[in-house]
Order: sequence, then C-alpha cells, then structure tokens
Amino acid sequence: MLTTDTFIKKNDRVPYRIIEGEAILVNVKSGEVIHLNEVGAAIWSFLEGEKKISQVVNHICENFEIDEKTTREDTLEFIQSLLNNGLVVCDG
Amino acid sequence: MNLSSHCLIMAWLYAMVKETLRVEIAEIPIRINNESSLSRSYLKDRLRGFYSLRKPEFDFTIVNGNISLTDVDYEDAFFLIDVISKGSHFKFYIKSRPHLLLGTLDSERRECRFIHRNLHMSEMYLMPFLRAAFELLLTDLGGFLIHSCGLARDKNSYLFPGPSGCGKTTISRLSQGFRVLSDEFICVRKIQNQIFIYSTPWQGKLQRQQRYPLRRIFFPSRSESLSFERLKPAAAITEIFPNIIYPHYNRELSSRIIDLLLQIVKRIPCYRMYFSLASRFWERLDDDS
Repeated sequence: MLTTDTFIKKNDRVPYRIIEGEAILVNVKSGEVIHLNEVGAAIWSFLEGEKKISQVVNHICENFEIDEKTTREDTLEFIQSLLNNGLVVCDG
Repeated sequence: MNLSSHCLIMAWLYAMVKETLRVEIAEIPIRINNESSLSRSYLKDRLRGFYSLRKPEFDFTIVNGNISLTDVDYEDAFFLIDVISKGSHFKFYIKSRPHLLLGTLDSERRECRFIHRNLHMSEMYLMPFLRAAFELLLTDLGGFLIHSCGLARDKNSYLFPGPSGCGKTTISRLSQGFRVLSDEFICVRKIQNQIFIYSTPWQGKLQRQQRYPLRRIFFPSRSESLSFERLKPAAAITEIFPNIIYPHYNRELSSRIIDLLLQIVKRIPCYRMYFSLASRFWERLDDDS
C-alpha cells in the first residue's frame, strides 16, 4: 500500500520523451505508449533519483494551482497506476 | 563420367537451386539469395513489382540449416518474433510450429541471413520472415512499417493508421481520385528531413517502388458527421505507436521509433477524423482546420 512516506523512482528501463510539457512513456512489456498530461509529466520529470511521495505532492502543489488534499489523493492514485504498469519502482 | 563433367553438372544443378532476386523496397535495394531447398517461384511472384536494377546495398540469404529448439524459450505461438539486438547486430527468431526460423541481421555489414530448420517448410513463410527482417532493417535506417491505409494524390500522400475494423479498407474504397498504396501496410521513412511513404510487397495495392511525400496523418473514427480534430504531438504519437509493427519489448528499438515519431509529428499535421460513409471526407483532406 502506497503512502506519502513511500520512496519511489523511475524504472530506468522505460523509454520516455517529454514533448511540449507532456510525456510519452513506452511500456516495453505490453507494447503500449502512455501519454501523460502536464501534471503527470511534471511528476515523471521530478522522479529523477529516489523521491518520497510527500516530496512529489509538495512539488506539484508548488507548481500547479491544486489544493494539497486533491494533489495527495491524485498523486497516490497516479503513482499506483505507474507502479502497476512497472513504470516506477518503490522501496517500501 | 570424368571429374570436369561432374563439376559442370554440379554447377548446373546449383544454378537451378540457387536463386538471386534484386528488389527495392522503400528505396532500400536488397539482393535476395535463395540457397535453400525452398521454391524459387514463390518469392519471384510476390516481389514482382519491386524488381530493381540498383546496386544492392543489403544481402538477404536463405539457407537450409539446423537450429536447436533450445535457442528459443517460447511456448507455441503463431509467428512469435523475438529480437536480440547488440548495436547494429540483430538476431531474431520466428517460431510457428512446426516451423522454426532463425534470422540474423547485421545492418553494419549489410547482411541478413535466414536459416530454416524444417525441410518441409512451406515457402509461404518466407514473406512474413522477409517482413520481420525488413522491419528491423527499416527501423535501423530511420523508418517503420505501419498498419495503415495510404492514399496518394498528385505529389502528396495521406496516412490513416488504425487497427483492423477502424475503417482503413472503407477509406481506401471510397476515396475517389486517389491512388491506394495499401489498405493494410505502409512503409514510412525519413530521408533528408522529409517524410515519405511507400507501398510494400506485404498487402500493398500499388505494387510499385515510388516515394510519396507525406502531407497529413488522420486517425479514423466512425461518426454521424464529418469533423477533424487537430492532435497535439504527444497525443498523435500515442495514436500512431500501437500501429507500428516491430518488437515492442525491445527497448532500444522503442527509443528509436519514439525519436522518429517526434520528428514526424513536428513536421506532419495529425488529426482525428470523425467520418460517416456518406460524408465525402476525401474532398476535405487538404482543408485548413
């Protein structure tokens, strides 16, 4: 179960590119391309090295006009879906 | 019979078996040497529109040989292709029971070799196998093969990528005044900063070696009325990518394809095309929208 204390980082084996503020990720296992909007791309770009999810939430709150509660809920859900697709890895 | 006449007979027999075809697909001149026991008429027929006199730049050779099944990890699957790549060297397998084929492609040495294990193998398998090798070669040279309808008019061409059932065949049948390159497979290449599309020997309607500059890409979607929605680059890449034919699980190739797509969507406008059968959509492909 992910919490704001969980540490996560990008899966280094995922090819991705940032285009006009949005991101394209390739899930090489399924052959799918995942399109991230600006907020998703900002989260993805922030995940250089290991980051605590609370740090990700703070980063998004600072850069987008979204309240802290919504950001926290959406970020956890978003990172869970990245994790389910093997696009990020978490350390406990 | 003395030795020299024996040698002559052997040479003659060898010439009967050996077959060399010079073809050009998407401006890539390839010499196909059939040194295997497979029929030579099949490939000749299938590649007829692509014969070429250009000096070959790549050699594809088909031979009989032994391949150990232990080389391949997969359970039974129809045309499962696995690719191992190291720089410009690719090794790929196609396993389709009871046949097993092994291919190696060294794009630096410009050589591709197919070995087929089953002596009773049908030559029908050669075309998909050639396609697998060609896909890899194309990716290496800055291109790809895509599930798409391709139409051309004057000096422009239009792509309609999509999965089966999205309307590719309908579009190719309805569009009046266009040449149909294919309603199934199209070859896309970037050459000197320009994007071109080509017909292919794999379900190509227009069996001809000719390049067509790509003007627009449309993603067909059936609707009550006709409308066009311009897509942003990331959305366009997300739409195109699943239709490209190559082994997705190969990370290196995925990165190359994505980089090429980035260059394509920066140059070529991409639209979602909502269309109905009665909408005469083909008259509006050049509209400003």
